[in-house]
Amino acid sequence: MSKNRIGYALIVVVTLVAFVVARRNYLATTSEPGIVTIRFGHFLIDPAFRRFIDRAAEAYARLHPEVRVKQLDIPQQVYMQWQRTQIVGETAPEIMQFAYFNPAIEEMVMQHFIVLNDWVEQPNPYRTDAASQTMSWRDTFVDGLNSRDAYSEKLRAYFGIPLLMGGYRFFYNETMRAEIGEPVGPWTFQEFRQVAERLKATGQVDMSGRPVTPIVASNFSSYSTFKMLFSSVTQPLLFSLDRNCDLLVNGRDTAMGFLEGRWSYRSEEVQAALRLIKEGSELMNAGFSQLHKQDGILQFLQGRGLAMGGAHIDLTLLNEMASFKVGETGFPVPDAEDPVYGRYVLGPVNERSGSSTLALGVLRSPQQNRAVDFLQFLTGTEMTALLRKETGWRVSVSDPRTDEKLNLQEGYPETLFDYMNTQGSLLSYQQNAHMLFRSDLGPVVFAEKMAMDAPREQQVWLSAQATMLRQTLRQQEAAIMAHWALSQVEGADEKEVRMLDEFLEVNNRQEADFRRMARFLIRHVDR
Amino acid sequence: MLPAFGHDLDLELGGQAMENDPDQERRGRPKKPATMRNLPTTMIKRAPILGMGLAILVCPGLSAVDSGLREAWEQVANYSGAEAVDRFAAATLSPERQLGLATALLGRYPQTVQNVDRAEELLRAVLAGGSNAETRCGSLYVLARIEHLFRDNHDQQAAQYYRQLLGEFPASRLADNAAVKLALLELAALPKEASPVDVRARIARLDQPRRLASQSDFHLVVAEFLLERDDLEAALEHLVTSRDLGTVRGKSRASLDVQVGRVASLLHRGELARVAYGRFLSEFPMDERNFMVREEVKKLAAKQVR
Repeated sequence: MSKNRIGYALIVVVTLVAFVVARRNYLATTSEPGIVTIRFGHFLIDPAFRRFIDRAAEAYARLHPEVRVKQLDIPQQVYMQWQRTQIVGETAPEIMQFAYFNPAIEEMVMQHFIVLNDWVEQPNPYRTDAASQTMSWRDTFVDGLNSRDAYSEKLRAYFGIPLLMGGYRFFYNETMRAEIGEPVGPWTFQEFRQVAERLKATGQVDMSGRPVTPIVASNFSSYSTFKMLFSSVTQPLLFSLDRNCDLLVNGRDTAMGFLEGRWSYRSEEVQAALRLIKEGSELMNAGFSQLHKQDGILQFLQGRGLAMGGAHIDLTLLNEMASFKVGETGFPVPDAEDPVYGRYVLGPVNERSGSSTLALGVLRSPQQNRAVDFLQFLTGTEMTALLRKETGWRVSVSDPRTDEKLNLQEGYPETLFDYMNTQGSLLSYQQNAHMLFRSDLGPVVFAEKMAMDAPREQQVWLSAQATMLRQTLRQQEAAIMAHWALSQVEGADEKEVRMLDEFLEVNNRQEADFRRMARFLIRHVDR
Repeated sequence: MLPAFGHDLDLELGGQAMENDPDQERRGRPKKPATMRNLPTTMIKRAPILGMGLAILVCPGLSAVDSGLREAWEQVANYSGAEAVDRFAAATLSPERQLGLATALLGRYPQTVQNVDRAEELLRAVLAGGSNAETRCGSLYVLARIEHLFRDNHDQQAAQYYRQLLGEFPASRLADNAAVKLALLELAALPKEASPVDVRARIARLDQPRRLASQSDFHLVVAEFLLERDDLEAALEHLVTSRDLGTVRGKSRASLDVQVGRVASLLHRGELARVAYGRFLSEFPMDERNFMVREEVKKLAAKQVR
């Protein structure tokens, strides 16, 4: 009898829960009559950010009672597929975060998202300070919207509104650091090795009684650490690979440099960088490359490691979840005084990662103007202050009244790891990287294997880059002619003529680049 | 109703060139008149051309821009190629509409060979059928770009269209840009083993654009070519000329300042390097290269002290 009662009670509870869930889902996906709904899809798991969006939506509804903003937080692992299917199925939300890991992002943006040029040149009505009344929305951003996520230089068009500035940080368990009696960061690589020694000597163990590792890492966390270590000792290559002397090296420069023998995995600086990575990996937990970012964070929160590399925005999550005080500092990389690596170091490594990120785009839809208005609201005075307060992040919109709390260091670009190992030689690197970490193999064997595998992949990648650049030039052609036609109409303003001149300038520069690549490919690529 | 295109062109010159052109065949116009024998096939092949010509003869007033065309051009400018194709296709038949439709077809996604062929066909019809100077100028430019960028190994045909454009409408903005594109073509034709003297001599003989903005572009692409050949001295000259013309803005100008600074520094021209770097640092304080440039300035200062 009592079993039956429990059964009935369970049925009632389950029915009630199902009703509540169904009601919540219904409210999240439908609109009341006369109410406009703006849906906002993103993949950030940070609770502080989700809270911020909810509060922003409430504040916006108070100003515009006819509008509701609903966020759809989609796990990063499925975001790309979700975004694609939503767009193809014509059920996509009005605002979507750009997925930087989507290789076809540019094409998707061009086809489905609106060009924001007309809006970004007007003031943001939600800025309340006097200076912003006449300032364009674009100029209220710290980087003037001059980032890859916000502005397509190739297409001379603004597509994204970023909320954050990028940057990397090295986090540590402050309580544990104090226990072992080491000074606070920043540490050089040499100093951090001593910290690791001290950790071992004091016999620090985690909750399960296992020895604590100096760095607890995951696939993402190890990437951020390796990226900084690699970039600290390959700085001289930033000059030797800079083909057109603009102090900007990109993946094409490194691919061409590789194919014509300006660098290889046997080069002195690259070998030093690989040895450094290997030494760095010896301070990490076993199997780190198999762990997802969240798993790495969990291990750090469980006290299984002293430190962890990551993005600066991880700090809010760590502060919220950790039972210990979290310290944050620059990455422990060699400095010029390092007895082994110092001769390759020109200066510090950039931690600011200059440009803005977490960019939001507006899909072409009947609600697009309202969606842009909400983005203006999100980047207005009140919401910028709220985002900063809720998350503590580096916000993309400038605010002279607020000092940045994070002290991220300027330095030489941290980009060479990506350009050398994750673009033209991505597959070869992924397939062979395990050799770096094995005690019986290491950087020399790895370099020999890369010398065999990477050239063909670099050739294919570079050819694909040339094809893509040609495709971009073709896409520009129609827009250039349109700007020319619009500039020819009587009464066309000076702005249109200037726009055309600027577009032609970019087009000519890129075409020169394309022709140069085409000549290079003829000389250096096996057909 | 929008007024017709026109304030950019030397219409008189363009008109004369079209009427008295001795080089008609070279420009790809119909090489011989249709005879009775080949008339049926020719008629079918040239139906679009004849149709266009007829439309223009019957409706001369349609050469002015249709009121719907501006919105369609704006759609092309905003990468909405598919919508623009529909809008142009629905507009009244005119050479401007055909130029717009051809352009929108090139901007339509996905880009297909059929769309490019169709665009070319429309533009050839515009040239053959007669049109106002602006539309003819635009059509020549797009045809040149089709040959140069959308086709493989059609450099000669592209060069021919660029030269025709320069010959017929020398004062137009598009002709200025055609001069830049011609420079790219002619530099690409230079053999790898050509000596620096030969290369410089060839550059000196290139057609120069008239407008400052295009001159700046011209010097930029020449400088990039010279950097590729490691002729830093000559490259610096062109970079400085481009910078001094003062038309490049934004991130491109930042890059130009850095390039002048870096190349000057490599050539041990410390003062020029310092000035260029200094200008960059004061005008572009948020640029990602700021740290590196400051370090370079320190190195230059250290060299000066020594």
